[in-house]
Amino acid sequence: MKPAKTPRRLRNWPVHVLLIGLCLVWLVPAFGLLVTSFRPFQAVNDSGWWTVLSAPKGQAEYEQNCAACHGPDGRQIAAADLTNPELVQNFRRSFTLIAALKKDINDQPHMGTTPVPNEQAAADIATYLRRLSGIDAPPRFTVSNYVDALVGYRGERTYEADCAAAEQALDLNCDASDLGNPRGMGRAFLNSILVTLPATILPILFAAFAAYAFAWLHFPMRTWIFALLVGLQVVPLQMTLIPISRLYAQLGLNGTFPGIWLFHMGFGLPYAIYLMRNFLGSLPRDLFESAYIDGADHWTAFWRLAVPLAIPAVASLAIFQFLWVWNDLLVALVFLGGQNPVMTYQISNMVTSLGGGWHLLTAAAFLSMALPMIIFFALQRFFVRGMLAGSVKG
Amino acid sequence: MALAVSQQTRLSKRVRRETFVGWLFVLPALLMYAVFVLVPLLLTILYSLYRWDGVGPATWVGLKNYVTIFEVPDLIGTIVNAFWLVVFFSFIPVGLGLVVASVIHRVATGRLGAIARTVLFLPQVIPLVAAGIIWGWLLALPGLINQILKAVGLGAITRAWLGDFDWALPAVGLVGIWVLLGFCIVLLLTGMTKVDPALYESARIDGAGWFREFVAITVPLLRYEIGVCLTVTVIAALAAFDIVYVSTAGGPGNATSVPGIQIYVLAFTQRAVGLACALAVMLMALVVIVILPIQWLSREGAR
Repeated sequence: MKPAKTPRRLRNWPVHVLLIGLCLVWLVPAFGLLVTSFRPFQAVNDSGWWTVLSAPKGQAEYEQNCAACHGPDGRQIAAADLTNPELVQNFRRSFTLIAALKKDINDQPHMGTTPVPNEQAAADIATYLRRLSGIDAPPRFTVSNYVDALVGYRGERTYEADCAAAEQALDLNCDASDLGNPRGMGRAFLNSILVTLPATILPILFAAFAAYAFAWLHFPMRTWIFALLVGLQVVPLQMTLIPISRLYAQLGLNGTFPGIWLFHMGFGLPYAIYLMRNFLGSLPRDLFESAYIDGADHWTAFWRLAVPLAIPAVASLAIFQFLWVWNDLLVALVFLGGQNPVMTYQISNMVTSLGGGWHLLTAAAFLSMALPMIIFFALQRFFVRGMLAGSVKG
Repeated sequence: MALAVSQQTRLSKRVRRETFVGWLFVLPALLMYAVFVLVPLLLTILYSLYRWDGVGPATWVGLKNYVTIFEVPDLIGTIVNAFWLVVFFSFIPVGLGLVVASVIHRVATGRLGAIARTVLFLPQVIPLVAAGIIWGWLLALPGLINQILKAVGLGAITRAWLGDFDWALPAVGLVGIWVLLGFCIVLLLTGMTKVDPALYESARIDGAGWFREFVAITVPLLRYEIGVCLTVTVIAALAAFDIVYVSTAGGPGNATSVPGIQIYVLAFTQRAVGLACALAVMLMALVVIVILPIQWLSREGAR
């Protein structure tokens, strides 16, 4: 007799653990981005996002070196109250702090018998003192990175601080109109919408007519044309960019919305036709036959029968085309550039012009991800269907 | 007799009418496709035979642009890099995807499987630009990867991964794995649900383990889905642009330069239009050469 089986659930626990681990590995990068985008820029630059819940920088060094005399809150010596900004102002940096620590106070060494901290520790203590005295006490979390990214702020501090001090850059007005600043993500968001909506609707409309004809009408060369469309789905974007940008230069379409709509339409058509044809072709033949017998012409059959029935296919198609256009960088870079920057362009531009401005980059990246993620979670069930139907060549 | 004739004319009238309506419905889409894809496609091939700065007069040079691509290390290097990306963007996601999908299919059929599918698919829906930022931040000098290495005592090998001549390309490849694995898993999983469960049942009764089941049932029956995964990911690798442009812009040096980037740079910043077109044609040829056998193999015998 066989030994009694372990319950399946228990037997499989290592696999479950591995799977959960894989999911965590997949989530951590995006989670790090999210946390970083909500941290003040001072913190982003000097500590990793995983330290966000640990003690503030320099606290340990302070407690080790200073707390014995100054007290844990820095107020113990009334003559040297470390919460007083005017006093701490004199020891903002490590070298001024070390100089003060090396000096004698009342003919006694400042630090007594404790050795003077090294430069790194002194810098951390100075950071902590600035926090303690309120000179520079960034909060744990802030939304200012998002504000800065939306208005296209490119300074040393934050948009809010600059506006409060009336030192804002020339192209900022410190009111709601800054959301339209061409360097910002706010304007880019609007541009992305303006690009994506027509570039989603147009190809679907054109493709629907063609797909109906391919599915239900017999005309010469039908199979050949359809095969050509399907086969050419593998053409990479790069094959058509150059002649079209030349054509657009002649027509004055470079940098305009119609130019990019038309390009995306041309490129989106084969997939759209393929998916819709397969869907319409899978509908029962009798349905259309009886409509024709009842005297419906193709125009009526298309609008009254095919289109309403094809709504599920149209939905998955719309999602895919929307995401494709929204997420695209190459086409936007070539045909819109900085004239009408979309979100992806704006981010790539920030990468090259900002270098390590991670607090802004992370916020901008998250802004560009928000809409695709909302669509994904809201309309998940349409995804698989569209992917399968459209998965190149049947 | 008379009836037959009239029926025939009516029929031919119907056929003619259908031809007319058919073309009328297809024509707008076809016209758009011709103007924005077919004609540019042919023009790109034509331009590739000229030396041309895009503005002044063009000089016919025949196949010289293609010869140049093979002679200049920076240009042929992009194609070598593209094939390395195929390993990361295509082979690893499809291979790993098969394993993970079959695990989800066999073991984690409940809520865990659904969550895993969603989580792993998520990178597929966000802009590649954002993926580039996410990983740029992770792989940067003060980033999480280096901090973990330091924490486990491997501080000596920490570096700015995307700025390192030897490691930049695998680092970009890693981003590709992160993005494309979910796509493969979801596609393969739907394929697996279509496989007759009785096959798995009888294999289990015969005492087949996970591995045997995987090799003997899953892989052969998922030929079509595997073919689709390979096709999509190979194209994503060979024509890669967004991820590379944002995370390394082809650098350091030309360590991560791929055809997609090089075509853009040649055509739109260096004004070497002929050469850019030649490289584009080469890219297209590569895609076709790699895709055709995949399509062929994946369909042979499948359904």
